[in-house]
Amino acid sequence: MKTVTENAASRSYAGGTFLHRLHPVVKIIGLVCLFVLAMLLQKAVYGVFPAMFIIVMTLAAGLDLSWYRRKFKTIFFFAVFIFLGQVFFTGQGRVLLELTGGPAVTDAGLHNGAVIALRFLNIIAASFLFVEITPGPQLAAGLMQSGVPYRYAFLLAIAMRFMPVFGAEMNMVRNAQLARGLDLESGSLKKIWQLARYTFLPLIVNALQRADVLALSMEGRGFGMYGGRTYLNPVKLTRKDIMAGVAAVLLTAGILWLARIV
Amino acid sequence: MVRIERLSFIYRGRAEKALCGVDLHVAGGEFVTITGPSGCGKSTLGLCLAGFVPQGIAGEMEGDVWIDGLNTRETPVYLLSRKIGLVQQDPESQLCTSTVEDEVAFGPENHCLPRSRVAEAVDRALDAVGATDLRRRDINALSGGEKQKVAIASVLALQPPVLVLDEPTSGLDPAATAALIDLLQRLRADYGLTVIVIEHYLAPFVEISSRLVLMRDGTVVYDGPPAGAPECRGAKTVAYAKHTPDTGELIGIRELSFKHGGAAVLHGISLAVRKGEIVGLMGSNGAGKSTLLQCILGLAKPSAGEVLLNGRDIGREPVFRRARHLGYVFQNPNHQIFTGSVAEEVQMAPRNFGIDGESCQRAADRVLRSFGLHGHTGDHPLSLSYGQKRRLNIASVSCHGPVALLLDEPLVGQDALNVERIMNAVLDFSAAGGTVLMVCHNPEVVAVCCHRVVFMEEGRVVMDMPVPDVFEALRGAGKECFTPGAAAGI
Repeated sequence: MKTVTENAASRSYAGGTFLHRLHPVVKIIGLVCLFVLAMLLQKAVYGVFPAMFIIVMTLAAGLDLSWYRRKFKTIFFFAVFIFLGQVFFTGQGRVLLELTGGPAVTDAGLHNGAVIALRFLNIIAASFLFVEITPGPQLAAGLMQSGVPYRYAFLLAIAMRFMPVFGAEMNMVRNAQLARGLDLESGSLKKIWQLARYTFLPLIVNALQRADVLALSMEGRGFGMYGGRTYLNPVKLTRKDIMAGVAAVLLTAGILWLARIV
Repeated sequence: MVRIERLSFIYRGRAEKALCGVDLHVAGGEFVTITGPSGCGKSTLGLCLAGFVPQGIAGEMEGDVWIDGLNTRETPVYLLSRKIGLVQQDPESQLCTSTVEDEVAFGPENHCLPRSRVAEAVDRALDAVGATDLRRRDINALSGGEKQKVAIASVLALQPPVLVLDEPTSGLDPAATAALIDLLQRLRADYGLTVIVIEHYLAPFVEISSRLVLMRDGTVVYDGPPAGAPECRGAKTVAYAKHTPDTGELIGIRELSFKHGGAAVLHGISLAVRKGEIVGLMGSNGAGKSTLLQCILGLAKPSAGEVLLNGRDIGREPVFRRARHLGYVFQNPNHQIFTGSVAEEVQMAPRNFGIDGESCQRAADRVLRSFGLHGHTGDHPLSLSYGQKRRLNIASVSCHGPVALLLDEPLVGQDALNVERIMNAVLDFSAAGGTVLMVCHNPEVVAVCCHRVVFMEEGRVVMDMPVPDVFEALRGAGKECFTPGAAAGI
């Protein structure tokens, strides 16, 4: 049996790199900074700034850049779609190419397409990286211990716990539909609507039953009894965390200031 | 330790009382098993013991319940949790965190114990259930038996002197059930716990219970030693009429293998199932029984091997075509209810297979009658009892005239009467020439209903024998828990 001291020591979701071990609230600050950069920088070339940060962070998190290739299978398709949408429907600027009977391709259209597609890719890449280096339980624990009322923050912990369960249930329901002779591969809109009904009914019924059992189980163990609670594994805010958070904010502010004067 | 006096309870909006004048006293250190048919009020009694009735669940309660001197009307549920721990039927749904350690620490953390005492409580509870090795594991990666252990540890962390378990064996295989029995005995001996088990499946509990309480229609009809209970005297032996199967092969499986995520789950399985034969698939959870059934229907794609139906290779046919001939029933009744009425539910598969009009209606009437559901045609399936839903599941895949039924644990959570009804319908199907492959953890039922048992271990068939012989072989192989117990009371 392990000793009390060993247990009481912060588990700190050890393992992984410095980025993995950062306090989840600092990671949220970093993510918001990247979002701000991606959204506020208006020139296509500035989209490179958040992209560079994301690449550096990805490598610092011990991930290979090919990791994005796997993650971005469908995302790239959407980015191209967004780019083409902007190229063909912006309509302003100098005409570069005029398609007979179709919309014109303008320099402003190309620029807008690049800005928005890059913005989209940066935001998605930053989100993927955040999810990869922040385990759900760590995020929930970090939020709870940072002053977010635990009754609400626990919703996140429960969602993390039951996400795979619902995924498995969805699969079972799909299998049960196949077993009753439903062809899930093809069909009209009416059939798709019917399938959606056939899927949601069993899933909702099960979710409600689970919610009943879970509520009794949590209440029976004193959940919500007091305004606060003890945490066996504290997620501590260290000096390194504070420095990383401050650095992220200062760097973001600096880049935004530079972008304004260039 | 537990004192229940003239306890009655009626759920809000219901006409009939769930409990009606129950009196029960349980002394410290006793092991009491409470049983009775579905709807007899035994789970409601569990909720009363933990204080959820009357504190959380709407309804009207009369009488009183005392746990270690505390009245459940006056003591808040969270304080009662230090006196009594309730482990509900489905361990999956009652675990709310992502790791075993967090789950076991959950109660002490909510009670704001100092961190060192939370750590002590976690150590003690995990040690008590023999799960210290699970401490760092992800809850979602645990087996059913391991989740059950964690659920027990998570209520024991608050050190209650009374432990109540509602249908703890449902979903467990016989080996996990035997391990649970050992654990409960140990908890009682080492920690002096008072254990109250609410259960349909009595066989494993008869020997270890100091008392058996039999309930019917919300009242206690028997309270005494298990040997004296009407359910355990062996008087209620059901005479199942087993039909002799034909000699011709209906389902043929040749060298079937299946891999999941690179790991082999089934290794070269070969099997021949005859027309009219009922084959019991037994083995521990994770042995590959459900996967084998899924490969037959095409829900899982084998990496090698053939599946033959009437000598024809059906390996390339899509699932919905195979389902025309093979009726598959999944474990959870609620995953396979899709429509708004019992009649619609039963007619769903025939309609998908192009059987419509009067012949569909006739088949539905026949099937509903054979499953005892003809009085419920207009009812919403979700308004049915658990046992009725299970019968509806089987009826729903029988109506279009499949030649075989693939049943994945059809008897989980069923009371004796429903087991009898389900098995009689299965035997009728077999007598009419239908073939049944049934995953079943209840050796007593397998012994009387199946012609043959296929016993699987780690993705391999290790025994394939007729029923009387297979149990002898299992005993010889040290797998007594898979054989019918002497105290079987089905």
